[in-house]
Amino acid sequence: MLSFRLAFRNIFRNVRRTVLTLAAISVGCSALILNGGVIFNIFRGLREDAIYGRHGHLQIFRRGYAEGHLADPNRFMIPEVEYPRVQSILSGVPHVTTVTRRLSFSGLAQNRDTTVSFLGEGVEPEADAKFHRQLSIVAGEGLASGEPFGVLLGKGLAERVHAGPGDYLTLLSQTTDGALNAIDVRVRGVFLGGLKEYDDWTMKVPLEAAQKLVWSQRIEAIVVLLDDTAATRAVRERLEDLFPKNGLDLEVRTWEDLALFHNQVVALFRRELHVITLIVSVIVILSIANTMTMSIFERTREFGTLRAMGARPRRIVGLLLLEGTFLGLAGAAAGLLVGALVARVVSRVGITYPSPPGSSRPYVGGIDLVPAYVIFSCASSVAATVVATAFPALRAARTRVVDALRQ
Amino acid sequence: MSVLDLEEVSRDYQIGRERVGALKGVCLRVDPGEFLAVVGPSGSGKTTLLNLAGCIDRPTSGRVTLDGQRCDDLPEGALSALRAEKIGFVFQTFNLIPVLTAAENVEYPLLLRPKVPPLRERRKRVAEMLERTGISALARRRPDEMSGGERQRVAIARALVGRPSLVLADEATANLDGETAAQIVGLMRELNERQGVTFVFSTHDSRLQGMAKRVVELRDGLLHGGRGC
Repeated sequence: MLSFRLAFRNIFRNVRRTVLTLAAISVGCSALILNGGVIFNIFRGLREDAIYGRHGHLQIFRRGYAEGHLADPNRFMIPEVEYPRVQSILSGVPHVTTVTRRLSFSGLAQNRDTTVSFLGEGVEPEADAKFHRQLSIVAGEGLASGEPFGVLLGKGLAERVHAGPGDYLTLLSQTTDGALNAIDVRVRGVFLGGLKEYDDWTMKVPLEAAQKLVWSQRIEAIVVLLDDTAATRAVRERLEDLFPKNGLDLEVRTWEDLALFHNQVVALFRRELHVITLIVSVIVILSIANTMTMSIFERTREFGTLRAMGARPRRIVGLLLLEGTFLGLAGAAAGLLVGALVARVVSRVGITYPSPPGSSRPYVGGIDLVPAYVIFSCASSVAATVVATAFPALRAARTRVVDALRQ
Repeated sequence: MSVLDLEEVSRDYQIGRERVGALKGVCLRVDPGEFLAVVGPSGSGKTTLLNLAGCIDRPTSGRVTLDGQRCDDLPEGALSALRAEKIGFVFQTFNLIPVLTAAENVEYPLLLRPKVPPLRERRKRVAEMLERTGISALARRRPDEMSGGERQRVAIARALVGRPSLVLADEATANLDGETAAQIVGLMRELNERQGVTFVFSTHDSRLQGMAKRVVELRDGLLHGGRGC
């Protein structure tokens, strides 16, 4: 206990030096917290985009869909009769909040003399709105179940086909048995979905109209939203257990399985985060190594006295490392305080980023304090301080007692 | 059995290309309960002699035996343990730990012993030593709140708290005024007589030499009146 007291009080021996050291540690620590916070905020934005802008938490397909649907899409459709059974199972699974059906298709859209290709998404009008928090209507209004042939166009697609709210289009597509089919639809609105490619090519069509166009009552995917993203894997496991028991040959994929862009960006930024942590740690070590060396050098005679009284070298090293740990903890605490404060203010104001590649609008982000990363940042700062203390501590402990006493 | 035995002890230093002999074949035997003054001019080798006696330095040749245990060839770890148990040091510049109170400074050596006494025992011993050195009232003060004489009393209490076989005081009064110096040597003498603590102290102050029971003189690395060998 006395050794703890000694180590603690030694921190306050030279207040100005301690303040400088603490400033270096806390700046490093808060830099780590803030940098990590910005990146984790981007991760969250990407995740929300992936879940609420496209994939939902889970998607249910006919088994083998992932491997086989490109070669033979019709083989991997879910018969409409299975949907009520799936719905019934989902209604008994905790965390499930919204379920909807989707059918994707491609075709040509004709507006008078203009014909363009498009990618169609057959959706349930009311439920789909919950899956597209990121989608904004820039002209007209959203889909409505009361108008089964009223469609939404992505902004780029609307420009290409020279159509706006109230205009009529003729959609042409291939039916599931290979024939050509056409329906007339009315443009209800124009949307911005966040990704430029998506907005340039996508048309949202009520499921009823889409099924009429491809002449099939089957659906491609059942999309599920949960009330808690953390429950995604557990719900998937539960469904994979329940479907076979109920005679359903279905597979379940999570948003992480589907959001390849999200996964690649996260992997890239995680690596960047490690590099930044390393760089900041080295800067902290270099910033405080000199003051730690000075502080220890000035106390050489004291260490000589302790050694003369019977202290072993490892006790001196231990004492100094304990001081380094206390300093590191105090610096990390200050860094945490500053980091949390700055994160709060910045998150309130918002950081406006220019449109990311492929996106059609700027992104307003903040700084997320992720507990695990905050702890990691603080631990890195403490570790950097201990490392900076270790070298002069070892040198002090190795000094001969008589030489130390002569200082 | 003697407390300290130096047999034909020499200590050379390499200064540049030259080898200088600080001690030349010194023989000294110190018996239990002695109050021995080592005198001599500056540079005569007093500090070197006390460093070797305190096992914080090793002789170039010769044998150093403390309480019957030869210590000049012991490994560093064993030397630390030996110092913690058998030797107390009083330094010229007091060498107290500035951030600890007087009581904590006195307690600290007990924590360095291979077998640390329990807290209650430590507190009892600290209180006892502060009482005997007359500084009980200063127990909670830090060194910078004390006079030189008071600091040296704390240093003496610290040296004695582990009940060592031998206390070495290297120029312990050199930083004190004449009156305080006499008081400090008087205190050491009193502890020597009452508790039988063996003291070896170096001084170049002729007035203090008179307070010693035995005086040996070092001149140019040679000891006069040392007994032993």
